Amino acid sequence: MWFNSFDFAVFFVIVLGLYWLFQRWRRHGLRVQNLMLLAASYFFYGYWDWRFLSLILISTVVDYVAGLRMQAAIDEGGPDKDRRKRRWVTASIVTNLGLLGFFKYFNFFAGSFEAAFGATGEWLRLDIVLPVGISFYTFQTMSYTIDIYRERMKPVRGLGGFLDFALFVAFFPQLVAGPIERASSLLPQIRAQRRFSLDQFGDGLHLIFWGLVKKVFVADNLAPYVDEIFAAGANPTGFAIIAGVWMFAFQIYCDFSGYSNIARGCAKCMGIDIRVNFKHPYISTNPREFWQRWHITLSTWLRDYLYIPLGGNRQGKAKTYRNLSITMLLGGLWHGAQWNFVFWGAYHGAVLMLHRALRPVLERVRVPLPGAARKAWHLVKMLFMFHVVCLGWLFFRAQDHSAGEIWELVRRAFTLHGAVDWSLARPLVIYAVPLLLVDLAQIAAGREELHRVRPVPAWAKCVAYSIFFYLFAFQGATAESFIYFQF
Amino acid sequence: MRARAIIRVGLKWIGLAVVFAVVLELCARIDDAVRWGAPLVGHYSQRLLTVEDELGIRSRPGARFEKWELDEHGFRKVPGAEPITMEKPEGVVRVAVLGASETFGLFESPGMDYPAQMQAMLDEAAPGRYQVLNAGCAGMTFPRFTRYVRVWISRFEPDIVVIYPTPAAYLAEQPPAEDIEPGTGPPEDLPENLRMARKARLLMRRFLPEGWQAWWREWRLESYVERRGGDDWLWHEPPTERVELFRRHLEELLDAIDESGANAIVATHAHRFPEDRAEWTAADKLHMVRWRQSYGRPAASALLEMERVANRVVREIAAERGLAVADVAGAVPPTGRPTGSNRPPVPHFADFTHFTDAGARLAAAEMTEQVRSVSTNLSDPQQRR
Repeated sequence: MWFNSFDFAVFFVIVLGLYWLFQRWRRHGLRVQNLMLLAASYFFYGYWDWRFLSLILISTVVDYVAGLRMQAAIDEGGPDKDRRKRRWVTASIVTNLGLLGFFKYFNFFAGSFEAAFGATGEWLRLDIVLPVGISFYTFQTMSYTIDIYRERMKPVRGLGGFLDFALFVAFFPQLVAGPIERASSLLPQIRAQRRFSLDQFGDGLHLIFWGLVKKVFVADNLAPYVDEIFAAGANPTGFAIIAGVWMFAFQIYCDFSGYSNIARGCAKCMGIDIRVNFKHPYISTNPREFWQRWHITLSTWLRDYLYIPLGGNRQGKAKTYRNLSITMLLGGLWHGAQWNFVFWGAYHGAVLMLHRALRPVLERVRVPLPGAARKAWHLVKMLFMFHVVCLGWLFFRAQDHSAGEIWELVRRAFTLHGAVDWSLARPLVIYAVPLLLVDLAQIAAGREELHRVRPVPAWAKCVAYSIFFYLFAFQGATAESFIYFQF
Repeated sequence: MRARAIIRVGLKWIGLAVVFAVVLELCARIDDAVRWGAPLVGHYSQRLLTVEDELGIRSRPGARFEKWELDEHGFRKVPGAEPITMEKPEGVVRVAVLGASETFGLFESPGMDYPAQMQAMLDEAAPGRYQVLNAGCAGMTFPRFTRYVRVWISRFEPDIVVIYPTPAAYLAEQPPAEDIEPGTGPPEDLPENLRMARKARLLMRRFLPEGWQAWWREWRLESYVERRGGDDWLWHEPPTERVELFRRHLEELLDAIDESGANAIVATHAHRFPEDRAEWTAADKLHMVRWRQSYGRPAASALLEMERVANRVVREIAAERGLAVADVAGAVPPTGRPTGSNRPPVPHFADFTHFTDAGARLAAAEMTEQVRSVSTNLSDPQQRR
């Protein structure tokens, strides 16, 4: 059930109606609301393939039990407290990463083993279907057990607590493509009484509308151009590759951030706040800032649960670089069981290391500039960083290409091989420029919810939303799946 | 005070609804202007594509609507192709293709309707030797084509005329009229229309699940049939007199083609529905309801039987007259599977009988083969029959 489908529209309207109807049931309203949301979330996930609900249930039960057992060890104390805690957190991590590893990476590692050792035949390969959203919900549920292990939160208890935890794992707006929520942020909201607020509901609708424009109008319309340029066997010119990478940069941003917007919007309509996942990433002026703006919930997850436990930047330069590399490599691998994602992660790791190494030098040569020149310099840095990211997108998108072919694409782009076809600029102007204008307005206003900016008259907002509606309803490309579903 | 506040809020929402509708209509007009070069003000619909003049109803010369573009003679334009002149170029075999909307091309990309693909295939086989005229016109019937051939097509001196029939038209409540009176007035001055209406309809078709659409359409069809007398009023098989009418009209059209000195090729008619109903998908069911809605009276069995019977009639007449038959019904299955891959089947029909690009390619290939076979007997293309 895609967010941009009729099925989802009907599903969401029914769920939302029931949700606020149950709110009026004062005594048991919250319990019934959560039960209904849990049932709706399982239905939403089972709509693809009900068999994979069993994986969510396994993660839910194991992590719930692990949370309780760790808390028991903490409460009882004693010399073996840490050992007991470690045993249960290991059980949780092994279960979740085991499911993820088996369903997502088994064939990848088997194939790599075959290639490395010259093994032949299909005996190592299994016919495995990748369950939608497994990378997202396994990371989400692990945050719960790891936070309990670190004694940063207490587990939920009892049947009610179990159902709330199950809802935290399976909450449908962000179940299949994030944002990756933290138990410490979402669980308390699930367990607290929600109040209907017209402002919050309006914010939710705004996010849904804007997300649909990004997904259906920008991303889906750019997709055919990108697919053609990067199709296996295509022979694109240097300019086509550059235009294709620019288009892909906007396609993937709008596809993923559009999904996140719709997810946040749906949750907001139910009075629940989900964390922001994107903050205008392409205005970043350095790689560190980029990762603070792009897929924020994954980068902060990796930072808190991988980079910092590895030692972060507190153990000297060499170990910092090592930690950065490991984190980014695994971040790349998280995106998919293919070497191009690993390479993409390694590329970003290298960029981050280079930036870290050069930062003291760059700070030393900083020259005081007058106002306009400073802004121009800022713009140059933004454009430079955008193209550094774009080079990464080239590795990311070239899934159907061998390493040699990717190198050839890079060579052609840098040497501007072949003729320049200006018609490729047209889709960029049509689909990316409106996006940039709205992004700029959001940056200027300091908030995403432009409808809350005052003093904009009601009719002007109505005009803006009518245009939004026209764009996604009548100018949207045929519904496609979201890119990040495959991760 | 409370009543006044309610009225104020109500008026505000009505005002906003009006703004919403006006902005959508404006967006639609700007969209049409940017995408298709449509005028911002004035009528803009498919009706622009036909005209009623001294030749009767036909494609309007020079008309343009969205992706459809007609040349100065009322033939479907092929992007990038040489313009067609009334005078036949020397040494060229001219092939006129007659048919209704399936021939005109509704769902195919520009330049992918089957006559355009025939042109490409013939060019590949013998560059510059053939010229294909897409004389298709949505809603045209045999009697109209008979007049069209006599009054208009014959002026282009085609060497070969391909006929792609629409048998279901003979199951309409009113059969194709035999007496075609030419229109007398100038091209219609069409009134301003709401651009959003068509877009909203298309959106609904794309967005609503096929099962829902089929249910809704079936309910409307059943109500209509009920009003007309129920199941007894329905045709469960094609009436004999309609089949005979089809035969007579086709013979008259072939006579007209014969008189014009061209060689005729007749084609069988293809549709999307597998013989075994157990194989029908939700989309098949929806399209059957839509097909039935187009004619009202025939049940699904009558439409399918009419196709079979009409194709038999086509073959019989061709055998009697010694004409070539392009067996499109046999050449275009409902779907095709790309060989050597696990990709999903490629649909050959976009609705009940109209082709997709892939379906049009198969139809074009079948017709091209017959055209080439017939044209080899034309020793000198200028020496028409």
